[in-house]
Amino acid sequence: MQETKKSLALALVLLSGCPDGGNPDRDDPLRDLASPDLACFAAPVSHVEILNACTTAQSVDKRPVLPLLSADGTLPPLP
Amino acid sequence: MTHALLTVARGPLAVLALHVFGLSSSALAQPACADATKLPNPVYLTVGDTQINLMQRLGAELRRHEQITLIWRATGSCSNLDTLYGDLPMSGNFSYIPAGYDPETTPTAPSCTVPAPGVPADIANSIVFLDGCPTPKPTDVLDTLGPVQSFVFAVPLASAQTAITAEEAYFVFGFGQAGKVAPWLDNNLLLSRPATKGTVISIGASIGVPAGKWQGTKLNLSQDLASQLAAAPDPGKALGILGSEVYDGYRAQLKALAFRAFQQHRAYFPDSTQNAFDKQNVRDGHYHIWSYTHWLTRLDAMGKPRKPLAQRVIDLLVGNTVQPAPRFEPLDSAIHVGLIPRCAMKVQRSREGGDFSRYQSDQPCGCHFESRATGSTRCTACVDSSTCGSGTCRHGFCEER
Repeated sequence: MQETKKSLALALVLLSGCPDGGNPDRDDPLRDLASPDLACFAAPVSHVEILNACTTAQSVDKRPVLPLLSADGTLPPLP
Repeated sequence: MTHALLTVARGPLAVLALHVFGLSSSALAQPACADATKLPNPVYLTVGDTQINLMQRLGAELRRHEQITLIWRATGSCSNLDTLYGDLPMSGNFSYIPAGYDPETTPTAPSCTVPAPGVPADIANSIVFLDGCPTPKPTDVLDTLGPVQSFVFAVPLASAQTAITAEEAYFVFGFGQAGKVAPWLDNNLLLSRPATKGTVISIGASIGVPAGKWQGTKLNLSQDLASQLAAAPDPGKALGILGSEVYDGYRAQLKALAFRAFQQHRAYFPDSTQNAFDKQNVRDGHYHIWSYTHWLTRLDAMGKPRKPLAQRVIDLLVGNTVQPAPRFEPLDSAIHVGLIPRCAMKVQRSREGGDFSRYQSDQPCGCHFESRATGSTRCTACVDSSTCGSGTCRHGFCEER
């Protein structure tokens, strides 16, 4: 159940796109330790859980707008 | 005669004198690598240029304590493997560790010469999984997994950028300026490496761009890339790739970008903070771009290392137990140059850029790593395991097992 909530939270984060109204390259300042990743995993096992495990490490929340990204969010083939 | 000339005529005058007498400075300075007096117990290596710092650091210890002389050339991982696999002779200029060498005071090791037809490599190094290179490993070659090396996207200090996502990097280095990722829109300022280099193979596996598809300006040497990146005419648009241990030597001029992998929420640096040296995020799986160093040597018909001395060097380098025990701490050489012994890792992977799973060494050394890499650790110091509860005293600290 908890993992489902986390998955939903992650999906919302990914679907939210660029929440600051169109800044094409929002690159937050380095996060201080008081701003945890709410969708992090406390007991990671799988690859994705390990990547997103809870940590005190500094991190950057970057959500760039990529003109060549396909509408469905997939990457186009390399030239 | 020539020595006398140089004694009285230094600088330009010395150069003029050498020309007059038809001598080159390299002919004067470089001994033959085969000189057994100056270079005892030679072990010939062909290594990635990201491993030069390790060669110098470990080589100094081996020369001081075991009278082993490391003699190496630096080139790409796939070229190194081809040399060993094909038993191809190596000739020309090599770097070596002389008696009394100190990498702190002499950052560049001296050179020696091997005349044609050359010598075979005793050890080859790859900084990527072997299947990242085209030639398959022969059955009579032994591959030993070594310390972990991470890689970074780096920018000049004056750049405003702090992070890059895997998707951004896919467009930047897969499409070049046609990828339309601001501010990285100038192919001349996108600095990468040739397709045979482990750095592009490893980073490419993390961003989905095969080594042969990379755009940008290709530079043969990591050091050249770092220098050109630091001196980029428009630092805001410049972006390059480096091994972390090479980057560590350029922190006064460059900064590493935090990297957000595919399926990851946030971007992380290799270290716990931008300015740390603890490689925390590599060790625990928050930082995606790393691979194992591989150290290979040839086996004889009995399946034993063809040159036992080479296998001893490999065993020391990767932290294996050896007899007789070394009179120095071999793990420290790797840690000092920014590599991570496998015993300090908490995650593992089985292919280039592949998924992580949790890992714990049979003989963990995380406390020792932290103490050496950062100068401090929260672990308890010990002299034996009696004070470590259920843990084990190893390298002077209570490790968890």
